[in-house]
Amino acid sequence: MSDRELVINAVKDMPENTSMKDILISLKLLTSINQGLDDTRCGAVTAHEDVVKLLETWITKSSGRTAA
Amino acid sequence: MDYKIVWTNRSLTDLEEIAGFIAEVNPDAARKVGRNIFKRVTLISQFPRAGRICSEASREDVREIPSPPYRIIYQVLDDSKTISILTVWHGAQTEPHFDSSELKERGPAYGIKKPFVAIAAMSLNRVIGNGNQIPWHLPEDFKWFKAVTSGNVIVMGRKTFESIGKPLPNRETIVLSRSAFSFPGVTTIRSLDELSPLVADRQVFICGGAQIYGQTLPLCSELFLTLVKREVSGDALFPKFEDQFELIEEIRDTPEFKILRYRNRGL
Repeated sequence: MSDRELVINAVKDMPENTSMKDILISLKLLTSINQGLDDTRCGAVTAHEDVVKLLETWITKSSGRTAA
Repeated sequence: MDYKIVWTNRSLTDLEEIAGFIAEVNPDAARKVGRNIFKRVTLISQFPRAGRICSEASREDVREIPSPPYRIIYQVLDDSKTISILTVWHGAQTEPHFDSSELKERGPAYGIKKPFVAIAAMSLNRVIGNGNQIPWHLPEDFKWFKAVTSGNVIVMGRKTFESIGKPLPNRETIVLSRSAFSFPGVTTIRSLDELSPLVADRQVFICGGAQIYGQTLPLCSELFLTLVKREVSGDALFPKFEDQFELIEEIRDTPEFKILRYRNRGL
């Protein structure tokens, strides 16, 4: 399915009263989902066990950044 | 067998942003959020189809499970027995000016999921309860119930709630009752019409008992039914639903029970 078809289908399924802002939010989410699907297809993935370890490094890196 | 979990680059970026953003002011809170997300992901690995189909993607293999305020969106890859986490989404990150009260007021556009989803367990002879108790003990089915309903809203009748005795963790418990019932941590409503402002973007699960199922099944788009493979005696029976619902998926089959997913033909 082309990107255009994806967008048309997504918008078609939304309630009639959906605002422009909500449509854009949904399309942004759809974009993220498609990026994830592309990553999966091309093997751009990390094992869960490694992600659990990464979390602590991200937290350490960001801790106190505001205060600094 | 549990599915293997992998995180896509997209979802890694999401998680790093979430953890980093929170850790700037509260590293412990960031750890807690991370742990909660990991816990939810681990549950998916046991029950890959516990999540509902992601409405934005409209694909059977792309599903989501809530870890409030986030939506964990994942792909089920049956051939390689893998769950690929596609994105971890927090709507408010794109709309920093919305506060929770505004989200509630704006209800439908944020996906208040009506109709509802029913979740039940019944024996071969349709029994769901006996003397206000569940007449079997199936830990794997409890795990399934927890995996599906966590982070969401569960609605039940007063007697069903009293048989449980307390609100279930990580879920909002709502008791549907015409009496003046009250219990700490529980919201009581007299009609399902009162639900909309309470549920925001969470899925509402109807959890029984028999009378509540009877009243609400026509409003339920789906039914998750655990069919316990034995006959038991009991005084509460699951209402007839077969005319209205069609089987769309057998989620799990064990020697003791099957988990089946039905769709309401009329909704």
